[in-house]
Parts: sequence; structure tokens; C-alpha cells
Amino acid sequence: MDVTEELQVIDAVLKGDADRYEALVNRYQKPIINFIFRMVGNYEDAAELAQDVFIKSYVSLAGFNRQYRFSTWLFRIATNRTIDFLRKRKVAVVSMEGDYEDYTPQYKSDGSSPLDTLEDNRVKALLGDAIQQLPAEYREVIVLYHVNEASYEEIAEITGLPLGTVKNRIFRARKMLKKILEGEI
Amino acid sequence: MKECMGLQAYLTDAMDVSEKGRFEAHLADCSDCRAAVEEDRAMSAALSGIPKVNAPAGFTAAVMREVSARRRSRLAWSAYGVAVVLVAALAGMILGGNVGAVAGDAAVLIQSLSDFGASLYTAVHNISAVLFGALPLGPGTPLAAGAVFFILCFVFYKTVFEFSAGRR
Repeated sequence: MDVTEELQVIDAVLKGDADRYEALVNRYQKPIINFIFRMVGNYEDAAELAQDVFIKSYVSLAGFNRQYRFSTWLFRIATNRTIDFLRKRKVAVVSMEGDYEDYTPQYKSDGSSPLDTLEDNRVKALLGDAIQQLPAEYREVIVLYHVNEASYEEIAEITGLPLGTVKNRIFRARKMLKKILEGEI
Repeated sequence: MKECMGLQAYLTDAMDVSEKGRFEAHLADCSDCRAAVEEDRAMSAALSGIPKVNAPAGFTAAVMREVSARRRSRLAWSAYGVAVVLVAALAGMILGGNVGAVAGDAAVLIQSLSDFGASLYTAVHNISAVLFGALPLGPGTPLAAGAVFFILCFVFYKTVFEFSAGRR
């Protein structure tokens, strides 16, 4: 489904043909649920939040700004909903611009560099868990960039952050992950 | 490991072609930067290789069920709002003594609403006169009161609509 087709579907839904919304749900359910899953770290919560996101998107569709892509708008709803959920869950969130030297390591180093075996499935699973240790502000951009394959520009639009801040956070997030995996902190 | 100037810009595609060329020349001489670039690329590759999950079975159906429910709820509230406004308008005409105007001329309909507004105003005026003794009753009052009545109906309708939207 290209952008033009998406706009046609949106027009149809706004005119009352709610069934057409199913095409948008089918198109974006996987990226949205993967984004939320990597943000909250729990599949059941992610599924429930993803459902909320699609409902919120449906009821707010009249407010969709056509200068953005639908996916950008949808991810903006998803990020807001997810951050709100994380706040309520009181997940440990460190000031976004603060340093990250205070994190408690989840994985202890066995002496070898985890980067030597990053292709290993176990390490990938560890990496998925390590993402959960990042502050939400860093987690958000690293997941959008690497899991959802959004461009820097799209991430800036989704998060409302300046492009330079997005790049900086992604770069720093990768360094944090390396430290977490190495058990250095 | 020291981190040379430009490493972050290089790894986040923030360099133009000439800057990139210069930094790549620097990489040939700087083992620390070379190692940092390799590590960052390995981390990027690993992150991109994180396994994806699928939506649970029946996800779309669950969303669409809720969408249908919200749509029905919205339609019901809209119908309710329209009904409330119509009933209020009819009540105004009946109280204004011009029921026949419903099927007739729109100007008469508006006049009826104005009359009803005037009646309301008169009532408010009389009550106010008793309570405060201070509401002026001029020649434009019936029309103004009718307009206020219409605005109140509209505000009520929008409130009901927004309330129903908030529940969606």
C-alpha cells in the first residue's frame, strides 16, 4: 500500500466506511507491535498497547495532518502512548541528557568481548534485554532506527526532536548498549 | 580508547562528502577510531538483526470490533445530540405558540424561536428583577434571546458530541 492508497483509505474511513480501516491495521500492526514490544519488554502489554494505538488512531483520524506520512503520525501516537505507559509503570528512567554511568549491569562479562559473538542468537536475545536497560528517551530512538528501520528524519518527525539530537542519542545509545553488554557498568 | 573529533558525525552520516573523505583518511592512521567504527558497525548490525515478533492471532479482528463499537457509540451519541436539539427547538416553538410554523416558512420558524427566547428572557428578567432589579428589556431583545437560545442548543450538542468522542 503506497502513500496515495493510504490517503484514499483514510478518506474512505473519514466518510464513514470504517471497515476500510482494517487495511491500515494489517499494514502497520507488525511494526507497531515490534516497536512497543522493544520499548516495554513485555509481549502482552505490547499487544494491548498496540491495540490502544490503533483505536486512538481511528478516533483521531480527522486530525491526521496530511503533510506527514500516516506511519509517522501512527508512530507518534505509539511513542506517546508507550512513554505514558512507562511513566505509569514507573520504570527506572534516568534524565535524558545525564550520564549513564550509574546503571546496574544485568550481564556480567566473562572476559571475552560480546562484540566478538554478536551474531550469536543468545547475544541477540541479551541485546534485546539490554535495550530495556536504556533510558526511555534513548530506547525510543534506537528502536525506531534499528528495529523499525526509520530514517533519522522520520525519527525527528515522530519524536519532535531536532535531527542532531536524534543522531546524538542513537550514537550514545549504541555506546550504552555496548557498555551494558560488556558488564563494564 | 580515545575518541577523535568527528567520529560521531562520521557514524551518524552527519558529514558531507569532503569531510567524510578526510575522516576516512584519518581512519587509516588511527587504530582507536578504526576500532570504534568497527564496534559501532557490529553493534548496528546486531541491533538490526534482533528478531521481530508477530502480532497475536486475531489482533486485527479485535481492533476492528472495537472500531465498530466506537463508531456505533459515536453515531448513537450524534443521533442523541440531534434529537436533543430538535426537541429543544420544538419545545421552544410550542411554548412560543407557533407550532404551525414548523411546516411553513423558515422565517416564521426563526421568529418562533425568537419569541421563545423572548419568553425565556422575560422570565429571566422578571426573576432577575425580583432578585437584582436590573435587566434592560429593549426592542432587539427577542432576536438576541433567540440567538442565545440557539447558541446554547449548539453548545449543548457539541458538548454531547465531544463527550461521546471522548468515550470512544
